[in-house]
Amino acid sequence: MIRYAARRLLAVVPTLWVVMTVLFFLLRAVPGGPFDAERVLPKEIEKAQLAYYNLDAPLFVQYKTWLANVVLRQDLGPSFRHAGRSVNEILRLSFPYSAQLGLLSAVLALAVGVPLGIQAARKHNTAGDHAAMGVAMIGVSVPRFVLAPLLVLVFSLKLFLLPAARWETWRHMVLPVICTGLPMAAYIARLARAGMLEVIRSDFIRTARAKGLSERKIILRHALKGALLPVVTFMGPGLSGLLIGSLVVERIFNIPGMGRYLVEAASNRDYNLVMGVVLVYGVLVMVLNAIVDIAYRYLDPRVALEEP
Amino acid sequence: MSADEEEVPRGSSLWRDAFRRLKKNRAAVVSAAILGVVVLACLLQPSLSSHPYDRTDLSVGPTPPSWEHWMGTDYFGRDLMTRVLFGGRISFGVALTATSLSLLIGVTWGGIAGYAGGKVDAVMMRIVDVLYTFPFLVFVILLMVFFAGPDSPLYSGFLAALSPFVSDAKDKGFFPIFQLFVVFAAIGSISWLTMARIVRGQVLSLRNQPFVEAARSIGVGPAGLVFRHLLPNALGPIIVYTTLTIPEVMMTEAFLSFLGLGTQEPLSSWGLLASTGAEVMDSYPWQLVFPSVFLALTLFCFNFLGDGLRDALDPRLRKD
Amino acid sequence: MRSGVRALFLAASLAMISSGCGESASPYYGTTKRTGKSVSTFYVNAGVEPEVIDPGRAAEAVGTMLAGHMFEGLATYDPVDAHPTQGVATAWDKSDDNRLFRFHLRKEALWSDGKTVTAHDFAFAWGRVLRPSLASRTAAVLYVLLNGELYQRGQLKVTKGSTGVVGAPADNAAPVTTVAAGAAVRILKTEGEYSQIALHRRLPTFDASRPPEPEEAKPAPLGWVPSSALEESPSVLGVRAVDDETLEIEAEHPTPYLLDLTCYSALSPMRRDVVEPLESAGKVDDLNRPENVVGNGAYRIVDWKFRYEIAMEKNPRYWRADKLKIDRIVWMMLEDYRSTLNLYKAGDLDYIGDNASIPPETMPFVETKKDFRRSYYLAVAFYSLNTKKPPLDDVRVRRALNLGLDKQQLVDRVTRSGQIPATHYVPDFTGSGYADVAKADKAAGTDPFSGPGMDFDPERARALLREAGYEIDKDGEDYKVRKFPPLEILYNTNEGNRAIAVAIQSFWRKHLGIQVAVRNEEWKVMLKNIQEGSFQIGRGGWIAEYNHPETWLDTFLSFSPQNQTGWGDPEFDRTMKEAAQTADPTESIRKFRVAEKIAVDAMVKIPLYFYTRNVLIKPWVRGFHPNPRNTHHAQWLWIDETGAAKEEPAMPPLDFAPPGPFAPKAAPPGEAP
Repeated sequence: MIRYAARRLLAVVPTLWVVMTVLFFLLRAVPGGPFDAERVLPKEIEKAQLAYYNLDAPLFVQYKTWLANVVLRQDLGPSFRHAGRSVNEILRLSFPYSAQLGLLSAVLALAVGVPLGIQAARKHNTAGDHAAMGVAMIGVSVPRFVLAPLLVLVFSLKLFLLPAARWETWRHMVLPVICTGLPMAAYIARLARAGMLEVIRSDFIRTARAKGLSERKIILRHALKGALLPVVTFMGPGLSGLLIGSLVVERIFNIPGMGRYLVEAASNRDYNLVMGVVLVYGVLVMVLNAIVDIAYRYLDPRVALEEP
Repeated sequence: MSADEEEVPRGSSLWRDAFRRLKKNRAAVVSAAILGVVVLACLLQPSLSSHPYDRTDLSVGPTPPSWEHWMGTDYFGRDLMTRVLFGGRISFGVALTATSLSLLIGVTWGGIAGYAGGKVDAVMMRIVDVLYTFPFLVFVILLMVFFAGPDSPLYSGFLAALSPFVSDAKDKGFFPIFQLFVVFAAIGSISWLTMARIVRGQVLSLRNQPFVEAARSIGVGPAGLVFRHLLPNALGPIIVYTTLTIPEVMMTEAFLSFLGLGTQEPLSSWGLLASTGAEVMDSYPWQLVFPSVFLALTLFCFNFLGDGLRDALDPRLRKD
Repeated sequence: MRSGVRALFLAASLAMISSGCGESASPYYGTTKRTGKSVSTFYVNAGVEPEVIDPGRAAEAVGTMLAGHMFEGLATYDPVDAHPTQGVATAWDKSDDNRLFRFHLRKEALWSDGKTVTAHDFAFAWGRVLRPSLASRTAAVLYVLLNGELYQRGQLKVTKGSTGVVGAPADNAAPVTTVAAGAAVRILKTEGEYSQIALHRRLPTFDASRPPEPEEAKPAPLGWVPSSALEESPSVLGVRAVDDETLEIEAEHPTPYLLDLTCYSALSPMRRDVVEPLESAGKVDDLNRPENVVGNGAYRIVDWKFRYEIAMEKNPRYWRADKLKIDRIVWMMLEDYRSTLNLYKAGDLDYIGDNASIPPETMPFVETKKDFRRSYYLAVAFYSLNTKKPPLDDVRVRRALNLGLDKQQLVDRVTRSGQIPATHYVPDFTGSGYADVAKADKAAGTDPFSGPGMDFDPERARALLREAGYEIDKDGEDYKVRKFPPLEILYNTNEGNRAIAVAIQSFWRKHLGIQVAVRNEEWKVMLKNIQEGSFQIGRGGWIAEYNHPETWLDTFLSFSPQNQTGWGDPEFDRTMKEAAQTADPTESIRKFRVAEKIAVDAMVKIPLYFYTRNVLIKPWVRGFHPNPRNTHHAQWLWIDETGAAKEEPAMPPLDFAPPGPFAPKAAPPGEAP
């Protein structure tokens, strides 16, 4: 198992290298540069501007410089959009906010989603099941850009219970966490229910039932682990998405997180920042997916990962 | 019954059984009926309505629902009902394309990776990781600009394909529609990743179970094992994740349109209408309510239909 | 599942009801009580994260606004109508032809580290803004300085030492002549290591009796020199510090608006001993870090939470710091209009900020509130037409498109913020005498930009189309034009832009029978397409950089990088030049109006409307006045929680006395005359 984990973590490096290399060249192929604006500058000035950031060098030279800086100095370069800020600094400043929001949301999502899904599966095709899944579908189908203003309207502007925006005290965190966590909870509930339904009907649960074990024991000891398989799989990319943050939630609640950069930096052609955010996201996705694969082993001992 | 069984091949009877069971599921039947009505309305109403979806009247402006306009009008005095139903075509289009791609590629990819395991699995899953990590926006901009511009060979090909049906394709400006197809494909091309991982996870857990061993011992080949034995047992999560993919791809389409990379005026879609509606929900709430209701209703129906389908196809329920 | 639908309806109707009722009863938008906040702290929304706050490079609205609070120029905008009042300068002189200027600086002006602000700090800063390697995006405002543009574009340098000139760009080429050290030369061409040069004689004299040599249209090439023998030197520029308290300026051409220009953040002073160490280390971007900002303005930055909040405090060394009533400014970076309005409503914001916008659909509600303020804004919205693409190569079609637009309805029903429908490019309320001339023309009935052929006239528009060879059929209530080439409007994605495009599409269809397509593109992709001329009709807008018609009309010059219409008219270029060189201000403005008419007649950009700024500011904030520059410096503001105090600025602005004559003054020691 340790060997497997080590191998998976080592594989992150070449995989990321592939992503970053392809991205490096494709980014520069996208039309428009970091300094294009409505006011067109004289050619000489544009050139000087590119030269300052070494963007006038041949592509391959730029790539080598970038790679060397990242590998040797862990330096992701300057942001072109935010003068005087390095990408390292921007990531260091923004990631804690996204991670905090993401983790809290994940906890909420799991705490709500898993029990809801399990209960729905146990009461399969009853009114309770339909009600639970109905609520979950609302969670899935109401987008965050609708949910967030509605929550603010009710809890901040009408009931005066919670602040409408900003990120200061725990009271500021409630609405964004709900807004990020609830849709995720809905996904988890749906997947947990599906997983549970598969397991409940499988032979080994029948055997357990036949043995006369209590229903509670059957669910917690035997069924739950297998039932969580799809949820755990989903949490790989799901949690990395949560940790990196969401553009919509960060904008509406004025949270200085990292989620906005995935879109914003690409729109601004802030090449270094795009590369930096993708690097963080890539590490998260790959590590979390590796953890998921290892978790399979614990959830279901029959899973053999190292078979040829 | 027994006469039927003799006349039709076995596979068909399996589906017929499933269909019979599906018909007994009330929630599924009602959902299917509603979906049918919605699809029909989307296909027919915009052509029949006396208010074309792109007919603006600034002197009317945004008005709440009335007898004349059942769902009110938008900012430019366009009839919202026609717009919503017309938008349904695009939303269904993206849902259909993306989910079929997700099923086709995702299930196959995940099934193969899970069954083969080892190095094959590792390589296939690393490819999935790479695609996960690559920023979608960059990918779509590149796709739109380099491969799907107005002068691109792809568009010429598209026009050539249309030419038997439309006489003067060049003038009629099929470009927005063509762009839509490209966006559908782009969304579809990433929507299968989580599906692949979920299927792989299920197959990994199933492949060492006794019934698989049994099938293998009677000489069922790998393809048969994956498609006839392993995947049917992973059907629950597959169907559920498919129904979860639908809202996601509809919102992705709206998001891309917001960035100028998708649906173009005067065309619209539910996601786009809902997000425009959300912007003005304080002033013209009906512009949010109606597209959202259609969106939610459709998703609900897909969900219950999916659950019904899953139950109907469950190999173990059949045994009961 | 039906319960789910019902819940959604319920939530939505709840939103509907609750947003409609209750608050509309109050004459103010949100709370009118300020609680738990210091009266000397001002909470304001900055809009977005600034890109650059180095005043020499800041070009975008937020960066210049913040730089304007940390630095002070020779003059500063008046709090009421934004005319220039005393800043670092206490008095000024000018020549009769508005070409030479002298500023007298106050002795008590200090930097935030205690050193005195001197004329040298200004001369250094302006030379820096124009330095080619700085590549400042805002440098164009300093092109008014003699040789400013040539210098910034790297076409004007001086010889490092005595330099031999050769006949060809090669090592073994025959020598032609020798140029003395420190001679100003034009660079005409560069080939390999060599530059082809011409002697540049048009140099500042700072003497009204000795105007500089006239501009040479085609400088005669002298020969080639190694590029390494040349260096940049700001000595060629029309600015110099005579002594610590006197700054002299020689302009490229008569510049009646120069005083106004000195309020702009790009013309702030900077400290050589702060800037140069960072620049020589290749870290010019670090001047944007708060610890490196040494300013001379009313406030200094004390805390910067990236993408969240900037805190500024009173600069105790500012020359009138004791008069400031706002000691601390908290700038929030709120990008979402709804959260801005919500925080304002709750009283967490005193002012929604110069850069916030209120969306048109909420305007009918918001504009009735007592804390709402509207002002005209020196900016125009237009659609650029690409004259290289048929049918837009025909001026009759372009004019028809303009006349077929109901701009009044556009501003009334679509943009909805009290904008003024535009028939031309320079707002009628522009300063430098433009407003007076426009008013006089209107009174005399000779305004070239109103009346038939200018205002909305669908009949005339259709006649023009017919003249251009297109048949128009009546189709029920509407029209249908036959065989019209396909047309497409290109805009960048944004709700406001979309609304305008759709409205314009519907006007043209209704009044002219033309079906145009609308297409939105991602911002940078659209910029590239417009710059490369692969568009037909493109959205655009232009905000004044200085309060003078030239700022808009320059964009029509045939050689302007801002002109992507493919149109260029020597007559227009010549009229512009003449107008700029005319010393009499009124006469000059009249000539600019003639040039403007040429551009309007060519109709390569369809003017849509002149902008307005619409803001909400709490009733307890005093000293706030809407103005067309959209500039509201916190130094004039103060907070009165009782709401009973009189409306006046926190401290009285100091007006300049009328400028004295520009009498020659001795050159500073150590500089060649």
